[in-house]
Amino acid sequence: MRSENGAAANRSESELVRASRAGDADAFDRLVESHYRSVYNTAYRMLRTPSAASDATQATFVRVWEALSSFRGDASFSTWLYRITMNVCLDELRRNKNRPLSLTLEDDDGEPTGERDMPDFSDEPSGTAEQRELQQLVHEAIGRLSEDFRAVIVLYDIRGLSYQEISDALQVPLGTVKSRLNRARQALREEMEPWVELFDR
Amino acid sequence: MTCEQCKDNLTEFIEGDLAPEREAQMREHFAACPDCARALSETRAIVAALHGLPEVEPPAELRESLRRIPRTTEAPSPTWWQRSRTVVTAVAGAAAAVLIIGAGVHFYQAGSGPMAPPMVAERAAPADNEMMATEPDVVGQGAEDSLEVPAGDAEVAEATGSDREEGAADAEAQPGTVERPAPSIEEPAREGEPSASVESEAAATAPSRPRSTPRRSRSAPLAEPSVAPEREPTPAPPATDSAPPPPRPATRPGASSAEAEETAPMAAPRMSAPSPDRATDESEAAPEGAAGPAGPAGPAGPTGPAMRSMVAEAEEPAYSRDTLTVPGPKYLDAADGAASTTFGEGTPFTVGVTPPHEKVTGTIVPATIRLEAEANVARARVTVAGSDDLDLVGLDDDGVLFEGPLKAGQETVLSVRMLAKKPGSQMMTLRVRSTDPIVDTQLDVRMGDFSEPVPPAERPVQFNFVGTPIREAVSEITRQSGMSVVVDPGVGDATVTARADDAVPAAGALRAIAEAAGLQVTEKDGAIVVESPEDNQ
Repeated sequence: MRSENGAAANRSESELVRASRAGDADAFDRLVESHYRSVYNTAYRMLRTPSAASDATQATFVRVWEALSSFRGDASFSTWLYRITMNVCLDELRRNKNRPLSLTLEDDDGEPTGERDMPDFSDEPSGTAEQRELQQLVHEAIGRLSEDFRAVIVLYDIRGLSYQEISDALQVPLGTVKSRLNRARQALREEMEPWVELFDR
Repeated sequence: MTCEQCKDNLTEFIEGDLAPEREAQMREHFAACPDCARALSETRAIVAALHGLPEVEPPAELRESLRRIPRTTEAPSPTWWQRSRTVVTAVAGAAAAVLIIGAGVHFYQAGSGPMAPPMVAERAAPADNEMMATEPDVVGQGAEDSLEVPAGDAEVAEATGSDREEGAADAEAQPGTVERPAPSIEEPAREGEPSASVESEAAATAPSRPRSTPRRSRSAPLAEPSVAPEREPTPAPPATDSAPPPPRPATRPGASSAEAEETAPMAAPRMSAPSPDRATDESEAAPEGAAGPAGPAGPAGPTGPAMRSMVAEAEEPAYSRDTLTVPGPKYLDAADGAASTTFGEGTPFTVGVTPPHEKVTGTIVPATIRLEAEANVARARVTVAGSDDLDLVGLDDDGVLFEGPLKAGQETVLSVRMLAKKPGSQMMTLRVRSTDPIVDTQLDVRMGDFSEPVPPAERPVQFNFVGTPIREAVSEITRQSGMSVVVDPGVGDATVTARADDAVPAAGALRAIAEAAGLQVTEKDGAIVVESPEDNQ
């Protein structure tokens, strides 16, 4: 959701937002088109399965559509969208909080006959099998982090938001973002401890 | 600079956010402190790995469902949406081929039916033109389901010239209608579209569609003794559809006329009686109304007077009532357990459905379908289809579950595996066809309510362990809950004494037991492991 296209895109985006607020479904759909992959990927890293990510993406855009009237346009649409996305994801995580040991169980075939919830990687499998294995381990390790740590890691290290954008999205002070990120990376490092040899860089 | 401080500033160091002095101090510290140096390199490596995580491509369905948001989220008024959604769901679930297109008509016609008038009014308005045109035909099946049936139909068509017209008309709605139920549920507003396309498709294929005519005779096998003439069609489908007395559907067509007459009059009151309850039951409301007219009512079926007149006009000339036995779509309610129905005149089939024992979402569960023919059937073809929220697993594109002969008196048992993606009432469509005798019918089977499963970790377990080896205790917990737990060999011969008379959640129990035995529970690589605390991870 970085504004890769610069000012021109931003302007047309604010037009799209304006039109969407007025109920223009096509304008909304174009907003969706620009942002849904980003929302999906954020949700995927937060919630860990494609199906949860799809549900969260859907919920996010439904909320966006319904709440557009309250978007004052003072922050960028992108940041506002991230805020909604993170709220949806954190709500979902908190809803499932009472499942002990279930951070990976929710992924798993709890019942032997369940289907696997596997993502479709849009790039060609990146790199070697070892790299992919590492990525899978990292993905799972993120899933073992607390939701607060997970949020900053996903937003900063995976989605590339700035501290300020994260502060806006999570509605926490800037200083908190930095210290939380630091501790989150430490926690992730501890989670990855058993596989430290795989990090040969 | 202490290690503590170093760790606290690690992120800023890596990101280059530190003031130069601070940064210099940290570099010194890294040079002198292997632990912190290691922390630095590992953290960098992890950050690099995080940066390298690939983008995942969302599934195609997501984009589609996102597209629908403005339409489905802003309804003229919530109640309208609710009601029409109910209608849509019900109808689509019920006499399936009837669909939304037909639904409007049926409701429109069945003004006296169980459907709430407001729905009728709204439904009829947008689409009543095409609806009227296609109404009689909607009962048809999809174009793709062509079997040998046409051969037989051709004869019929010739025999009854007027039928062909009806057939042509009938054909209008058929092609592609089978697929409709699913999308229609989501988009009542798009009704206009399907009927339009259906018509054009139909027009194109009309000439080759005499086989539609057989379906016209979708009379009530229940009520009818056997062959055409006395066909008092419509009472039966609704009668069948009112699920409450299950034995009814299984009434043999071979019943005597006397019986038929009995059932016929019974049908009418039955239609009205259950309807009050039905009106509020999403998935069942429609069959009453919809199945009635869908049932290719002969002129005189004791269905609602409104329905009858409309249907009669449209369908009467098309009927071929001689040797064909093609009963119409039926509704089978298997929500409370196994249910069956019989159809086919002359050579009846009985179809029974046993829903999954455990109706949970997100898991593939089996349902059973039983077929029994009273006479030999050279070749029967059974296809099944799920719905928006119900996937049927392991079938080919046509959903063929069975194809082959059926021997008289023998039961053929089929298993269909399904996956409910959402909680709630689920429907499955079952179609049975054969050429000898000619049967082509569709059953909409209500499988009942599926609910989210309780994750194994939350499932209740009970136990009473006294000096029980930990391995056994864990095994008991996992057996009861379905949790998957690994017991590390290092636990040795630890034992546990613990008791839970009232069921407790499995995960909590596992922890308690482990701790009681001086062990710990950790998660590794996605697995739950019970191990001795000194063990490395």
